Amino acid sequence: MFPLSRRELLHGGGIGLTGVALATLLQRESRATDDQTDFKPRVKRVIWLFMHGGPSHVDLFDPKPELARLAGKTIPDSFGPVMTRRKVAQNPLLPAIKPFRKRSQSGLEISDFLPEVANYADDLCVIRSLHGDSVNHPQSVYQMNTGSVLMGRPSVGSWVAYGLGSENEDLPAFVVLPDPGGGLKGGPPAWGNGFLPASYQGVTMRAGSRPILHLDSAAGLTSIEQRRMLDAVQQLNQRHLAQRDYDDELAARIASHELAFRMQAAAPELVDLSQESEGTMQLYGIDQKATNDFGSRCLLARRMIERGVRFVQVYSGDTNGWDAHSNVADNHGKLCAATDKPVAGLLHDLKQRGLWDETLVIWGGEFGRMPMSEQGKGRDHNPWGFSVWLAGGAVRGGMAYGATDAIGLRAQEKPVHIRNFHATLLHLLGVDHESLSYYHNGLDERLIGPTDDVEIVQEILA
Amino acid sequence: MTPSKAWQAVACCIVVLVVSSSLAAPVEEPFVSPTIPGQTLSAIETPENLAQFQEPPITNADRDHWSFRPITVPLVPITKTVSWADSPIDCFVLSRLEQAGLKPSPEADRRTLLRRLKLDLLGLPPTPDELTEFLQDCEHNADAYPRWAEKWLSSPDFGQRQAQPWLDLARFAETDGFEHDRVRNEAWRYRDWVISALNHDMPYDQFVALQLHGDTTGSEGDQIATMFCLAGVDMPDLNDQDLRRHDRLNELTSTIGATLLGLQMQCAQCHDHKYDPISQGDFYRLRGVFESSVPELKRDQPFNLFDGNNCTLEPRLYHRGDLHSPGPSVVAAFPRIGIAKDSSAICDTQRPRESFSKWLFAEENSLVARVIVNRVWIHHFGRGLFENASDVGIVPGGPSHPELLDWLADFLRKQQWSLKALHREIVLSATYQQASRQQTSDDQWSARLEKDPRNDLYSRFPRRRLDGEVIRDSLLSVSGLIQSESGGESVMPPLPKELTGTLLKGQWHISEREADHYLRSIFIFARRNLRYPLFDVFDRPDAGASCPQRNRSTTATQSLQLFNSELSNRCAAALSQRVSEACLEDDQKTAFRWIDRLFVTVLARQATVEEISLFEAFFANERMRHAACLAILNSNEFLTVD
Repeated sequence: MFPLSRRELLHGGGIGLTGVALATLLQRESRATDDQTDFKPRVKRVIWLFMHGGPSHVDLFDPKPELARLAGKTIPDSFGPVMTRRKVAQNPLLPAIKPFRKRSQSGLEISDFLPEVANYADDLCVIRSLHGDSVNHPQSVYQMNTGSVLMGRPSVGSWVAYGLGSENEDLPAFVVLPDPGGGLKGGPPAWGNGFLPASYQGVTMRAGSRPILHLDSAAGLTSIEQRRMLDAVQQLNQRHLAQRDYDDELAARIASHELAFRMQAAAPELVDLSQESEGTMQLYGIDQKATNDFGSRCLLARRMIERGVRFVQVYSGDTNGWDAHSNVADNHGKLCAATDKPVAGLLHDLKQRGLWDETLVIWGGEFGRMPMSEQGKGRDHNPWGFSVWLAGGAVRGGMAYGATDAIGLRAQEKPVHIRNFHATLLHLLGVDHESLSYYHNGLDERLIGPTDDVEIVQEILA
Repeated sequence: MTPSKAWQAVACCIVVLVVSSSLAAPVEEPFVSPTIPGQTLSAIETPENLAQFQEPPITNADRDHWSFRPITVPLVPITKTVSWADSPIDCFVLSRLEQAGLKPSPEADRRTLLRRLKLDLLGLPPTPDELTEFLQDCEHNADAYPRWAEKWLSSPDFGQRQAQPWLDLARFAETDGFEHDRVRNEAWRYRDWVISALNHDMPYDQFVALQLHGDTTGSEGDQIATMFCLAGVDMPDLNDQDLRRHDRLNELTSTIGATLLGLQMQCAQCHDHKYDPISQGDFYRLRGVFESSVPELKRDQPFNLFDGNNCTLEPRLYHRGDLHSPGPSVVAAFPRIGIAKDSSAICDTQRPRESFSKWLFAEENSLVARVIVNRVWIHHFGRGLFENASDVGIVPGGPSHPELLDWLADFLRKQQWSLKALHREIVLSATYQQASRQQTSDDQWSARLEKDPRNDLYSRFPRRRLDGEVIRDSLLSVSGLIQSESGGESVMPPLPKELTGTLLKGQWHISEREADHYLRSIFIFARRNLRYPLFDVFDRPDAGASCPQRNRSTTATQSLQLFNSELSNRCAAALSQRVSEACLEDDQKTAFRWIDRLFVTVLARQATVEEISLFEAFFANERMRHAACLAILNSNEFLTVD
């Protein structure tokens, strides 16, 4: 999928590829033009709202009347043995905590937990039959982010950054906005570069005056002093370069110093929400305490994609996050209240700013939750069938794709493995999951792994 | 072909999948399609299943691949130029250069050579005193360079630099990874063991043997070495502890295949390797070597060192690598392709790891020596004699200098596997001592660039950027902050709170003693879920899998760290003060003296007239002197070895 010269570079030198280094730095030569993607991209950018801990599909997007009917009973034998994280398989079944309602024109059913997002039902494409392979948080966080339950593979965002680059020469291609509560299960490897060069890893940013690590001089040098210093070192570097046959790798560092200097100006501008109107602040719920944090980060995500960042991940949930083992009503009540309005605000804002068509919004966690109860009112992890939704111009709105079984335990109709979800995501970006590969340890490694058993979910495409 | 015939077909090579008695048992449950998520599969061995596992035999064509051929003892080639070579290495290199109509580059100037040598061997830049001493030594003695090489090969700093590439291979970190990322209390002892072994020049065969079976030698202190096998990620709280054991065994098998043999075995845990003669049977038989050493694991109990062979679980093959799809039983054995055609190498299943280790270093094993000499070569030249250091299979290109590779492999064996002998031979070679850029009065330079554009022929020394750990050690060294204490529990220097905030509480306790913040990089606590930021941006691997060779990226976040971080600025401040003090001693604190001293301290060379005038204005006040120091610390010259 790349011009031959680039591919040769990738395969040629093995390691220390000056070509790749330069390509990363010179991302202004946007590699996302039509002739370099595999087919016409339907979207250019992604905002992934990651609900860490595992939101309950049976309480939010996947209504199960049968679960109400069987409330308090144990799971019927016909469902066979169930692998769970905790010993909950024989616990009484727990019906949805809040009522579901048909919403908007499409009649897509959404729970009362999410009254604001429910207003956008006609724009949501809910995949109700997603499934993964592990009942554990970190493995599932890794699988959702990297395609593998093992630690240390490149994340989707880094693959996209590698494949498409950034559209903005002053900002990274892949930005992560972690929950300020910290403690993602699995940690930063969730947005790591794995065996891809370090330049493709997710750059974490945060709201406030220090959005990126090491953006300000620890010695308090002013911008003018820094420029003088940079001019001096660049003159040294230029002379050094001229004596060394204009070595690409040395030239790349000269360019990277300049990019860093520009980032120092661009990043604070990026996170400066004072430029936004009061109406926008209200739209995202930034004026309210409960929604201030997630709203600010959703707005940052919008500002980023507006400026050409390719892939933004916004995390909701600290160490525990949506992990409602003991009480779904309390846990989801709090987190829905913190995210519902901001998410709805983001959808609205993307539309009103004309960003809708070229942006893909993803909402979902690392897995869903079990139909059985845990500790009375809680639920255990369920990777065997759960929901995520997509929104944006490239996907069909107001639809539910696939289905879990009668109680929401396993994906049953049109199951979508995470691998297929990833392949579809790449497809929407105009990248072929087969050809996006990186030569590593003698193999062309791919996001979707070594298997050939991958399908694009065609029905959800607009 | 019936299943039993299929197994007979491979019986020619020692052992094989031995079909267990359960083959005859009636099939109780159907083979469940894996498309139903969460359904557990049962253990079955139907004839149909077995039939799927007909093992492709090893062919003569397979054996004819360069890496599987026996190591030869090549004749050192005769070259037209006779005065250049310092080592047989040079004759092999020169012979190829001459074929291409090229001459090698002249020797690098002395101060470049000194800096290169010290950074390569010790991971530290030379001090101003060393520079003066060395230059004087060279004036008076022809053997100055080899003596300095010898001195540094014997320095305790040697192991502190050379351990890191091995720890990269061992996917070493001091925590488990995953959610809890718990600390492995004894891990630093393994790190110290590696440093000490390399400092004492423990022969490579012994070095490997102890890491495979240090628990069985009866000698206290050897057991810690076996952490090599088990240093990978682990999830002690995994629900399914059988799966945990399965994952660890598969991971260690893959790592051992890649690091010691250069075989990418990991593909074969799910299916026969697509290109290389490594079958799924080969994978699970090699895993069988370790099967009895990994007991049934207990939830939340660490397992990071071997302790005898007590497990009686039967080694077997797993369909598609899936624990819940067990296939036929197997018997521990070595990968068939590694065994010479008429060899009788059989794994002693009573002492499988000892037996494996002996086989690795047997005369007939063509892989182990080639793989390790290539790794040492990479350390000094930044690139291998073959391209993928952990893959001697079909896909990557073959060696650029096959005879040199074999000569080195043979040399290492003849030196009783002394790695220091190999380092010495390389750094004393004329090939290594070549200039990396055009020298005055060298009229052949453009011919080299034209005919050897990628430097495949080693017509000049390949310049490269320093590793993150070496950059940090260099910063600390030139600023005088570095502490020379060594060994013991790892230290945690301060980190920005934005980073510690991403961890669970209490996962980064800043070391109380400030001096501990300035220990060498090898002693910084290696947390899997949070790499030390400077190492992270400079491509330190994440210890998720064995890393044979690091990426070498150039990014803006590297620049941000090197200009703005607390560490860089503390070093710049200390450097500025240090340079000023040195000038006061000379009683000449002028701009000229100060700038010159700065260059000598950081770059091991004097400043040019232009450079003095470029930095003159920075001498004005402390703040600008700080900026000047930071500028030099960010120069390409400081960050690369020439």
